Amino acid sequence: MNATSHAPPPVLRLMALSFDYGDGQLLAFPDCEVAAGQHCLLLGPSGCGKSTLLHLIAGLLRPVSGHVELAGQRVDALSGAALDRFRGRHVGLVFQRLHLLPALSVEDNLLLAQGLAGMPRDRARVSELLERLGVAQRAHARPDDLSFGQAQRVALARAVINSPPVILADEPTSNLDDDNTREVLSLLQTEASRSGASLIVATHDRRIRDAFDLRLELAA
Amino acid sequence: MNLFRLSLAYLRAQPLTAGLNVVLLALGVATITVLLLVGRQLEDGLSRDARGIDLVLGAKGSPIQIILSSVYHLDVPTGNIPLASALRWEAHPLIAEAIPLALGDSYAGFRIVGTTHAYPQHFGAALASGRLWARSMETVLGATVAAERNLIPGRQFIGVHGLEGGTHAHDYAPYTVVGVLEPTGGVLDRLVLTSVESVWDIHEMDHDHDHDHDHDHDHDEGHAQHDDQQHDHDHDHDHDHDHDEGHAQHDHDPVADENADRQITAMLLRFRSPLAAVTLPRLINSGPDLTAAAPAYETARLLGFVGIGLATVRGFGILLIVTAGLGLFIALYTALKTRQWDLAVMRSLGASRAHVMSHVLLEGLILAAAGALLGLLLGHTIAELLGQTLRQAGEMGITGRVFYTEEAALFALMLLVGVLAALLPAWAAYRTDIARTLARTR
Repeated sequence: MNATSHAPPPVLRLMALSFDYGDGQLLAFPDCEVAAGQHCLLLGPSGCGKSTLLHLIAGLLRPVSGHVELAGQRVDALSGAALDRFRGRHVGLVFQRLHLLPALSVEDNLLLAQGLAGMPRDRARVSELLERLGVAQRAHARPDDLSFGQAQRVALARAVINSPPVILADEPTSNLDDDNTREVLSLLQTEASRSGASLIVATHDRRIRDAFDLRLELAA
Repeated sequence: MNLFRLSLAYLRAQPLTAGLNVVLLALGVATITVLLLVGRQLEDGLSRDARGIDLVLGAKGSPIQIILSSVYHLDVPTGNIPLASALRWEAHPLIAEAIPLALGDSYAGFRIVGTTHAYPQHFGAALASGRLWARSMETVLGATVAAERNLIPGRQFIGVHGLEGGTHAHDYAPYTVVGVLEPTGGVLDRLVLTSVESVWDIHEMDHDHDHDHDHDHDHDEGHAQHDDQQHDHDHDHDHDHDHDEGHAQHDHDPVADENADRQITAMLLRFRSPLAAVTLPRLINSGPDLTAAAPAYETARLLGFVGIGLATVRGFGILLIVTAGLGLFIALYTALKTRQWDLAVMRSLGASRAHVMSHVLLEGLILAAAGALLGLLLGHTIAELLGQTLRQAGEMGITGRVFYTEEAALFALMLLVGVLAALLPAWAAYRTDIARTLARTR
């Protein structure tokens, strides 16, 4: 990242990665390198293993073979609490169902994300982020009281709050109409770029295909 | 957002379920706490008031009744005993101390006890003001009596026949307060002490005054009185047997040796040697006119009777706690099913397995601690209310303002209940498969 003249080192490198759900069917993934700050689209039909690949990258699943290198660290070599802490610091996750914690206020959801990642709780950072995403006035609301659009912004804020080098988004647009799809995608890309993160979106939604330079097509 | 606040937030999100579990736990804990407080204070009170009293001489009858009436001042006496018989045992070489008691009258519900200076001294009671009685009709008040009746040395009051507040007042013979005792925390606080002679004298006067009235047939049991010659139905019978039980009396007939016919209600004895416990009771009980009752033995017997009731209530309290623990388990386990995503999301945000497990355990602990604290508070409040509203409980000195180490143990036990109830849900949280949970669309 400090090398300005050379190509920046890849933030994500997948090599000979394969996974087996235990049903005897081996999922093999193409090799791939994503440069720091570069956005990438994982495209493919349902059931091709997009979510699985995201989970492998995040260390939520362990590959049968090959390896995942994220920010210079072999994710598949980590385990236990160290893996959890690494994930909290280096990976921001955006789910299709946003999965905000319903018992906590918007602000507490973000503070929890900082705390669980082992980062200092920074209220100023939280309010600045909510301000920028236009949901500052809902800081003390419960997720259930938010509109879907507001909740989506909060979920995005949670993914970027710890400035992770990689943001993984699983089908962020599949339930949205065209206008909302454009808006969400633009938000994702803007926020990722702002914190210098690489955005990796897994989707079967071909509408957003052209918004990405780097595309990884997965076969069914 | 630390783990404690996180668990608290999840509990607050389900206020009814959490509240119900806390209340159930609190009821169980309160039941056990009240039992502990009342039972312990009862035992403490019983052993404190009987401290240093090895044996009590009373009229033939139930030993428990003798102990209750003469040591704890709760029941009516079994009758009276001839002073001469009692004095014979006072002189016995195995007896270190003997304190006579003459009961029968009361003042505003407080018993007037004719005794010697040895009685307050035995319980280490110090004077708060004034002096001990020197002459007949002089009294020293227990701290509670003085405080409740607002009496100080120099004031006078009228005693009445009977231990429970009789109707017949000795209005021609007022007692004079000469001293007030410091609070002892024991039965002494609720007694009016005077000389044995006062009790004899007042009934002698009583007799003189009431000579013309036909009041002698309806004396309550337990009246220290003097013999009345006008018992017309008894007149022809053996004089010594026709007195009402429990009347410390003296015979009106002029007699050479006054002591020979004097009566008292009981005599408290302290042994000089443990050997006396083996030989004396049997010796005394074999006599014609006395029953010897040992406070330690009778108290243990009494608590044995009470113990059955206490055990029943304790069992009920334990049942409540077990039910509450089960409710806690079900609540946590059910909540967990709908919270799998939350736990998986927490894991994806960097929480370790141990972290989410502690989160669930902490919820059980918080509920258990809240239930235990509320239960202890409730238990102490109930005990205090019992002491203040029930006369008997008040007389036994029951209060909610004391704490026992067992309560800390009870609190710890409740935390254990919380952990046990949360253990299985916490283990399920530990085992949560994040990827599978996140991949599942509800």
